[in-house]
Amino acid sequence: MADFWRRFRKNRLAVAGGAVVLVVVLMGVTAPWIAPHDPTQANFFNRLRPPAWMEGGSWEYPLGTDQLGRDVLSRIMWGARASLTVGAIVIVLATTVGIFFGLISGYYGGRVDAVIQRLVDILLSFPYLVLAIGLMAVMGPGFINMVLALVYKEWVTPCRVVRGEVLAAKSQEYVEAARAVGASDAHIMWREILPNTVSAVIVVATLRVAWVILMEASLSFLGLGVQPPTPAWGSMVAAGREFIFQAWWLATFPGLAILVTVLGINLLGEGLRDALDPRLRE
Amino acid sequence: MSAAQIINRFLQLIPVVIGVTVIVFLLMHLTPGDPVEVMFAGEAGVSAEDLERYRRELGLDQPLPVQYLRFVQGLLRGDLGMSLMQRQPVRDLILSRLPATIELTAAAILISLLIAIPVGVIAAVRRYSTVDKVGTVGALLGVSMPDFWLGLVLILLFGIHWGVLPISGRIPWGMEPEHITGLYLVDSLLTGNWPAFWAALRHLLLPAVTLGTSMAALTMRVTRSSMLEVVHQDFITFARAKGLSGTQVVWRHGLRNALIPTVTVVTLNVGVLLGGNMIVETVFAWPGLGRLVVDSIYNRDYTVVQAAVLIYAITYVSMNFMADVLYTILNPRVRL
Repeated sequence: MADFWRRFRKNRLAVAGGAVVLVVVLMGVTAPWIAPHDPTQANFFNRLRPPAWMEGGSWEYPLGTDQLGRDVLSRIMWGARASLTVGAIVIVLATTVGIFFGLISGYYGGRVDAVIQRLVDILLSFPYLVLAIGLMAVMGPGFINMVLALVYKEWVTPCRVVRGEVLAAKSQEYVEAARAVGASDAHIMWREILPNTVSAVIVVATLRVAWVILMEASLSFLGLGVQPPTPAWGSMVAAGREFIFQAWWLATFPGLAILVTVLGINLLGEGLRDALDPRLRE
Repeated sequence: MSAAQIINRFLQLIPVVIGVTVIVFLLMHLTPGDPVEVMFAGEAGVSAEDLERYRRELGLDQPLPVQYLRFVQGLLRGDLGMSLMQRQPVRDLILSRLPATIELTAAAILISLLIAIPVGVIAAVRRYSTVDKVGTVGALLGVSMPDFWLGLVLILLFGIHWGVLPISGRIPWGMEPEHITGLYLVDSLLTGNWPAFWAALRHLLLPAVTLGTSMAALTMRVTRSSMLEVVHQDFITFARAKGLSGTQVVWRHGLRNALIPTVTVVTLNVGVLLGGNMIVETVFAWPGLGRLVVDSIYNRDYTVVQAAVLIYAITYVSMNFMADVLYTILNPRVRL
């Protein structure tokens, strides 16, 4: 562990990524207290105000206001909640499902493995966004449906990683030793093998959060994800597109928030990978 | 890879494709209400008997397995069903949109390669140089950037601020070249219609750059890392020892071998582009397949969505298959 910290700290980009993630998480968590305005409160006297540093802007609305006079900065702060919640829930659910199927697929092999891997192959045949959009189209937009639509495909990644780790672990001495003393299959899978896959799972989960957040933003951009008036970065960019000729800031800042967050997570994830499990590189 | 192995790999695709059709078929049955209800939603003067008659005509009263078999039979005949909203065959709708999407995707791939391969090679050969650092940062930005946002930023800069490029559509109304392939660039070239060629090219530029950016990032990373591996191998040292110039060694001997993983990654990522084109076509009002899907979702035209998802998936599966085949053909060391 100390070794891990030493290696991780040396990677300045990874530390910077971690700091960015921390700031975004804090921003989302404390939004109700630190946001200067109510993110859903319309104010028609303040419509389409430019950012503070431009002519006509004021520091009361640092990043300007939208078509309904709502404060863009406050909406971005609240929007962090949507992205982070979806990212976290999807990854936790997908990782749980993926670990379960990855363990039994790798451990039992044979028919169980064949069935699970065919299912994985079939799901992999759909481009990510295409499957998510197809599912959202029939289930209807909304938060829970979006989480489900993303989990349907996302569990495949941890499943494959865990399966690979299990296959490698199966022939190791500690597993054979456990078997020799009569440990049950469940005990061997959960107590012996699983702990050895943790670092790989953490690295993959971190990097995948970035991807899931991009997908959430894309679905919200298309109007299929988080529904108004709840602020979400993707739908804010979509709304900003309607006013792109008058108010460049509406689409620009929420998109920048997505970019910075995803970049931070990617840097953090790559740093974790290099420090925890360099084998996973490429 | 021998012919037998290619055939074997191909046969493995069959259960996958069957699974894909099952999922796409079931997708339709997850819809709230059935297609007939959607078709006549909001129309006055349609009785319950009329609805029942339509259900029978469409075979919706049959058990699910029978409906599935009919669906597959239709697919094998190239019948993708009828659009619920436009009341015309889905196949015709999709075929009319396909050239726009193919043109956009091809341009995106071309642009991504033109950026990624030179940058990737230079970054590997001159490791830790400015090009390497800029390339690495650029690639990281490229994969972290939502494409819909990049598209809007390009629109803001090139379309609105500088006003040098068009921001929506494929070509101004009335300028379309004579229809041969449906690809405007190709058709205008074939007919020598230069104004149309120029207009189509200008319209294509921003959407293609938007779509190509994330792919360029991935391709650059792969080219760089495989080039790094290659430049340290014996045959490169040998080529240098023979007295070949540095450029010759890098571009002729190095790149040829480093390109193998690149080709695979590019082929695999066509699937990512297929997802991306729904977003990019929406941003730039590009009249392609992706836009058709998004519009159909808003219109609850489920048969169109279903057919498009199926086409995307089949294309993706074929691309993965091609990636495997290309990889083995290009790399004499791999004999699966």
